[in-house]
Amino acid sequence: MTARKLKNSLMGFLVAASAGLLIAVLAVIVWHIFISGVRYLNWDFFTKAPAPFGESGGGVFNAIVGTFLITLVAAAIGTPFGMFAGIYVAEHRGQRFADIVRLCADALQGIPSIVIGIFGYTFLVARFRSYSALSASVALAFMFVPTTARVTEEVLNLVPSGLKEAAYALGARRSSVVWNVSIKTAAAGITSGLLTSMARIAGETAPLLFTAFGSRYIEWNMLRPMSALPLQIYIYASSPYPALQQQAWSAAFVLVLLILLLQFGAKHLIARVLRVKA
Amino acid sequence: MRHIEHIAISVLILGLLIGTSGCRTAPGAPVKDLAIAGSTFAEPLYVKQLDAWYEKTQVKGVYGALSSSAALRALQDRTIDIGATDLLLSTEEQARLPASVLAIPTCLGAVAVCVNLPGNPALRMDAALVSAVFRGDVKTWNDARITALNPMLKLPDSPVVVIHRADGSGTSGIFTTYLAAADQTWREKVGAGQLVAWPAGVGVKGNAAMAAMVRQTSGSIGYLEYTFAVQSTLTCVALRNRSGAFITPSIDSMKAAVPADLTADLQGTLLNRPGATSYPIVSLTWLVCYRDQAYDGRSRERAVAVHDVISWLLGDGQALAEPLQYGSLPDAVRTAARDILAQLTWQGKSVK
Repeated sequence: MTARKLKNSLMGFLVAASAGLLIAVLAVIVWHIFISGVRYLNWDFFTKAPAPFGESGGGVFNAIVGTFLITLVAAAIGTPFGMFAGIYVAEHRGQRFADIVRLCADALQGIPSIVIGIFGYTFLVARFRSYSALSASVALAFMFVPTTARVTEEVLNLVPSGLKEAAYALGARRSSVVWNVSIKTAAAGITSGLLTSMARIAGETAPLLFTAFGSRYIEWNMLRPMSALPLQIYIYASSPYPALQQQAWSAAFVLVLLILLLQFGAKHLIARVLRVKA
Repeated sequence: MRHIEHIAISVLILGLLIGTSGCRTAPGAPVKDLAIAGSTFAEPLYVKQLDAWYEKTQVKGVYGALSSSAALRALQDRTIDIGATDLLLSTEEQARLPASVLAIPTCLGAVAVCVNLPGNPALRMDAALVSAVFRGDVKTWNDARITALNPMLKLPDSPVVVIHRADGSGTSGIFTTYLAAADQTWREKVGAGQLVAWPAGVGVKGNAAMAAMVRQTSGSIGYLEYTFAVQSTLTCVALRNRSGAFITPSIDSMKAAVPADLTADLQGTLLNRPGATSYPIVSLTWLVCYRDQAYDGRSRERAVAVHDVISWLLGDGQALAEPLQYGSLPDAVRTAARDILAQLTWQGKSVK
């Protein structure tokens, strides 16, 4: 009896401690980035390109623009493919080809981002003889598609089959059921999936190193080298100048804030979906 | 279903359009951007110079601090306009490139050997001692070989922590080439290269990480680009040069290492030069571009942009070197560099 009790309390302690540790790790990271980063934040940081080398001041507006453009274009390229693949798999549940597609999406998700980067370099940068933000977007789209496909599929599976059957009973065509019933019902869930996928690719560095190249100038042309927050953090953190190393912390703070906001938005939407279902 | 098909087809067509429109500017159009990549050794200087060039011409010279060896790869793939390397291309490296290239020196740099010891003593070392330390042969700071060269200093009996670069690095290339040239044991046991099998110590990636590691680790010794040593206020070791003088790195001691009779093709090393005031680990750093710029259908305007930016780096851009602790090119080297740049062509005709 005492041995069982001991085991019980030991395991209970381990489980609780691990849960606590999880919170602590996040808290330490966020707190450290906040403390190190927030001190150097000011208006210029968000609105100006980097100051000429060796001069103080300047900001990371170039990288903020880059992160938004590269992520949005990646999402724009990846959303239709990911969503359609997800719809296909959900609509053909149990079929052999659908299973293969799902398996491939899972495999694609597991490919390390550095490999995606090399892929982007070989097939886009080397092929077109130029580093560009667009090649970065395409590389990130490869990471965006599988997550989006899986999320879309899972959310569509949550749509009650009774709802779809009712639509069919009313004589609706399949395209109409998919579009007006399944997707409309699951819209919030799919959007939340898209946001989570965007949060995931916004923080990627490895694919950008090989494709986007980085730039100290504010760049709007997707066919040119462009900076992004993770890339700028990487470059600043390895610079000899303490001022730039401090800016790396501030940029890290901005990036983490952005990603947490995206994920918070996604969670919020998920919560709404679940409420609607209940 | 037709909806979906329409969207899918439009996305495909859009993708193809963007893809095939090409990323290079059309002939006649002004060139607004140049991609330059390579050396981390000279990154601060190039970035500063390209910033000034942007102010002047609105041409965005984008610098990617990849590494000297990555510059070679990118040049081979023709994904950049100009590569930056700390070591002159070997004959095999040249042979791997699809066409003949020009290597143009842009500034002088030094590799500093830095230590972190209590009281920041002004340590003296010769090549044999540096070699012994980096081979892990010298275990403590009060080793007889160190005290023999530093009789005036009181050194602790704490262990020597060797820090070296773990990535392929031009800085390592310069440092190990110097040691291999100046010390036979190093030549036989370790050799020279951007990436060597280090017999001892802890590996770090990049000059900045090296500076941070030496700063944080008491009793450590490492080697890094001089600018990084200055910015991190590290204590540099005075090294014995070939004439027997102990010299610390500085802009003057870098320049003193450049012989007056450096040949026009700039071959010949600046390592371990004789002279009362020359620092022994000095190197030129180079920009590399294809001799004929008309490859891959590149426009004449792009060739001119490449020529103009390098020409400016050799001219007014030189003034920016010394505030960042790089040596500006001595006049003889600068003239030689201009002669090399004059060989830049587009479809066989001189660019300028």
